Amino acid sequence: MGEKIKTMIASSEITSETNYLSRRDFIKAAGLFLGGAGLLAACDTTFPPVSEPSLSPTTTLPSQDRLTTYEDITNFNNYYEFTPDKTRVASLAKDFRVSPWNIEIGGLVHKQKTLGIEDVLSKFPREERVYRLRCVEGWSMVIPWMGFELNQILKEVEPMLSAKYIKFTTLNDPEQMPGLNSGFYPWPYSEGLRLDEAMHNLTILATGLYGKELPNQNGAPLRLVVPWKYGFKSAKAIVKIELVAEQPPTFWNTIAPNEYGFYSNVNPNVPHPRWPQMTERRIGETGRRPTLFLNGYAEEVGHLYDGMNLVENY
Amino acid sequence: MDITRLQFFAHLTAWVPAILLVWDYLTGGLTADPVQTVTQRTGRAAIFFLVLSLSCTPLNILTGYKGTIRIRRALGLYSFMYAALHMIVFFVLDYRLDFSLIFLENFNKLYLWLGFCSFLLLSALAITSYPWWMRLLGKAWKILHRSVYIVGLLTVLHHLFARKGNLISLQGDIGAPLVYGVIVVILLVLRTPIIKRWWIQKRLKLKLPREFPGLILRYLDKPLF
Repeated sequence: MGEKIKTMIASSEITSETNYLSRRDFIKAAGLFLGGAGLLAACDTTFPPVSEPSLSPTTTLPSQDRLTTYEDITNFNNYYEFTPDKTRVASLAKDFRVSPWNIEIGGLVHKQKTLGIEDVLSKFPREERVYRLRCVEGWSMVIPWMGFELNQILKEVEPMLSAKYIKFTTLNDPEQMPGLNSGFYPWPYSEGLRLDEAMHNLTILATGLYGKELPNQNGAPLRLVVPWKYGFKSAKAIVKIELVAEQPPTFWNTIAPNEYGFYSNVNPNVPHPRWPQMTERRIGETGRRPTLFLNGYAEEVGHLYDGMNLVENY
Repeated sequence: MDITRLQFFAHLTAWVPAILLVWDYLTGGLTADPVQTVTQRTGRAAIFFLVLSLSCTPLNILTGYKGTIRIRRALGLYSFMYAALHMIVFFVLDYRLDFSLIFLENFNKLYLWLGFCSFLLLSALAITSYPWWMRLLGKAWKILHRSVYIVGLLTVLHHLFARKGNLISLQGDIGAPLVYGVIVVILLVLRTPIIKRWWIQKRLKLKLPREFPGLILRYLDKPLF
């Protein structure tokens, strides 16, 4: 069931992407999925040295996950602040101003902070994280994000003991984001995590992908990425991070609580009234593939939910 | 029988979504998720032509203009064509005829059952839309074909529940199905015998011309050649 690396490179038409997808990166990317927990957990600040296995570029990899193309990642976006039409976000977000940009981090913290995006970029070194992204709509991608662990920024502000949850708020600027003029939605977009989910080292704030700056349509300048949850949990264009005591209201949960729970962990055992959740369509592939419990990250994050009924707490 | 300009325009319009789909397929314009895109686009075309077809009789009642009656059946059949494509994409392209998976994934999805029932009923109407069936069924034919309004309501609900949103709080991506819903309800109201009689009497009393005048309609009724 392997894919030939050569085919993957040949199928790419983007020069920079082809450069990016060097042999080493392929081995690394494959390693992330092959190695599972061990390798992922080892991704602290830099990638562990990759021992070069005897793989030639034409060797068949047993990995079933290959990177989604840059073209697809940047032209198929759910970003309702611009439009519900996934193919039009890229053009509508073209002139979005990502600088100057401030991120306010406050609430139940000892050291409230407002950071400029340039402070964030210089303070927290970026590393690459290749993650699956599973959209609640039943499609998925594999995305090489650039970013840093959310817990790094949280340690800076020193959460109080009373902080149990974390709330993210997206920019609310109707002049730049035409979708915000739609009265059908409870703007601004907000999302939330339990504090232990936020502190987990798989949870990152992304500022780039494919080794480049994060494109506006993917949530520039700063977005959340929580790979074991449905994509909508990963708020884009974040301006505010608050630590709170109670479970915060979240965007889609407010609209349809029976469909979108606070947790929204990827779970093939929890049906959705609209979209198939046992299987998914991987962008760039034909046919369906099984959806993995916690999006395949159960070994890393499963312990967060010990003793919890994840069907009730969907 | 001469083809009027209106008939010609109706047929021409009806092929536009199909031609655009083929064009986008050939030029790579079907987005990163072609299966979802084709499913949604065939579905939207089916609803659009269904509602156009449904509006033919009420438009005739409102205005007295008879031209719309001549395109009613064709519009309904085009709606069926797009609905059939919609079903083929779902069963064949998306699920590869894996019926056990289709059932397991979807038996709990109300919107799919609504769409499926709607399609079955529309199929019955399409099959019996020929004059031969009309003669065979007699009065029953008329009753059967009035159920096109049930198809309309089921389809609007299918569309509504297929969108991200919440009808009760009027939130989410539900603009289009709401507009279709309002149109179908208005059309249905216009069709009810009481309203229909009341309006026709009023139209006659107001001495509105029996047939709605206007350059446009006279233009539309001319033979194409």
